[in-house]
Amino acid sequence: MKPYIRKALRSPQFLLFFTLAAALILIPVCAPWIAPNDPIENDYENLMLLHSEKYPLGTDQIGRCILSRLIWGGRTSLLIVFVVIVIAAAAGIFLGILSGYCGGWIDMLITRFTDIAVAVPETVFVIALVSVLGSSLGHTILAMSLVGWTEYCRVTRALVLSLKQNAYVEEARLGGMNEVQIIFRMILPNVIPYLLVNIAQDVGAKLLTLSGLSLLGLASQPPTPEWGYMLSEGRRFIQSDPHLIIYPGMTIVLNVIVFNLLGDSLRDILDPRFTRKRREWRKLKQWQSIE
Amino acid sequence: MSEYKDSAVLELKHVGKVFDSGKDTAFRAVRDVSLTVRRGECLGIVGESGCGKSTLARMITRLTDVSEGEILLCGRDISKLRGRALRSTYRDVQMVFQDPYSVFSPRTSVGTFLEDALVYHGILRRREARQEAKRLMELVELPSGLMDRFPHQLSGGQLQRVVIARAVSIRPKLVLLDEATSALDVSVQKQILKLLVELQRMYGLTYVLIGHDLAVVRTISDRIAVMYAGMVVEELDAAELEQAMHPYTRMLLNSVFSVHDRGRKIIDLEEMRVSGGHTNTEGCPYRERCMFAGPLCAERRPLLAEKRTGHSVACHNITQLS
Repeated sequence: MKPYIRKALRSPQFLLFFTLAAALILIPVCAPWIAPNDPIENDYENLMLLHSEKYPLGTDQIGRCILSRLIWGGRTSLLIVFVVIVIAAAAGIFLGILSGYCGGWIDMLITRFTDIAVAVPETVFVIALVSVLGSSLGHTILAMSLVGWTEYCRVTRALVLSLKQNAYVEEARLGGMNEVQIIFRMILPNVIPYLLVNIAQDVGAKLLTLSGLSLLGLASQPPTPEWGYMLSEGRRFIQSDPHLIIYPGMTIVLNVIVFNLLGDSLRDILDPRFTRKRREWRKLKQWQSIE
Repeated sequence: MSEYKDSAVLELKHVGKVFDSGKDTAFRAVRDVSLTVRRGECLGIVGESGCGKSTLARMITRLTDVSEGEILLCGRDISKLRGRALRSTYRDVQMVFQDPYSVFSPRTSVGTFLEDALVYHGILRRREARQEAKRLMELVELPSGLMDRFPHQLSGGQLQRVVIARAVSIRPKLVLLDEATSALDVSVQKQILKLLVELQRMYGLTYVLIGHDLAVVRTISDRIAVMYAGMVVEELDAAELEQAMHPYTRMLLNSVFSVHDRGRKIIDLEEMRVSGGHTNTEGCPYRERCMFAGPLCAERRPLLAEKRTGHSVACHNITQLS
């Protein structure tokens, strides 16, 4: 682990995005101390304010502080997204490894099951589930996790299928490892870095899905602040007061970008070959430019 | 020690491998191979690519299932073992693969790679294994500073030394070297062969050296088995290689390149006829390339028969040849 940390500290790209991502997580976590106003308090004398001393990013149509709502909203949005990803990734990786490594009828069963799960449209499934079980954050998380694992499962399976062909798996077998040890020592460490990129990108994707669900009123209940729901509320005033949707929209985009790039730089660090390849590639580019 | 001197470490009895790739397209990669490797000896197996020599090695390590016959390791049949029992046989048989780069997981350091075999075979604890790994690095003449390096930071020759060190570390009874030097530069190849010979002397190891380069194989082998189309066509002492009788072995001997050869006279087109691949029909598999092929060769598959002590040939035309 040590060389990775050393490498991480030496990569400016990683440090930048790590700081940004940490900030994006910490700001909502520290919301009670940071937010300038109560996110659900209405100030009926200052509706649709663009900017003021008290409200840096203005107020919405019922006089709530937009900045405070963005800060508090991150709690809801990021919490849901992280919980969903942890559940979905864990389930997907487990099933993917089982499927790819064991092969045979287990593989066929899991693959068919994944195909079925992929065929179910996410939004429709969530609507159906939430309308049966009732609208709540827990049910949204459940519904999103139930459809979110498929991508992890497929990617993991594909990776495992190619990784288990490697001679180092056979060498590990000769080295006295049993199948479970091979999975944990040889397969999993080589799968995770590739999945980190998926996970980071998934933060963005899930944020967007969640925003979409909130837009339909399926995720958070008003007046709980949530980015997607803020978009949905501000949508009606896009002509007259675009700042109502610009700020939450930008927040979502910023989160998506930061987590994507964090994933990219993480992969650079965790794959020992990757940096070398890039260094060689850069050298090659230099040569080409000289010629 | 002496009581084991002549005992067989490895005995193959009519070993065969059939790859079923469809309804009636069974491909026989290895057929009816019987060989014996005695303790402390090095058996070289040569043959062209696709002749089944690697499949044979993979069957001995059970990385591939055995279709026919028995494989006796120190008198115990390992051809049907599974699970835990199979894992425990890996303490006695180790293999060195052709490409050292592919044998390392990119995320395992060289030191961990060496320790793992000792730890997972239950021989040493992690801390003791660390010490032993250092000693092993010295044994194969590598600086112990390389232990924290990752495989991509080492050269092919260095990696192959590490792989050999690991194979030897658990004191196996048999080490299979599957084209262990083929992927390396010629100069490195020589160093590795030297190392192998030294280790063999030091630990009394038994080798099965598999290769396509007759010149390399004969340098460290005591006996040589020549394979063609999944069969052993000739088996003899390495020292008597010049007296080889089988037409295929003769052709191999004539095909060995040497820097001393000049011009194009070494290329005899008649000998270079390439076969149409394996034939599943009975008869000698080599008959299409053989200049001595007669009607009998097409009818019956020649069996390996002892012509002299320690020299077996599978050919119908032996009298003609000698």
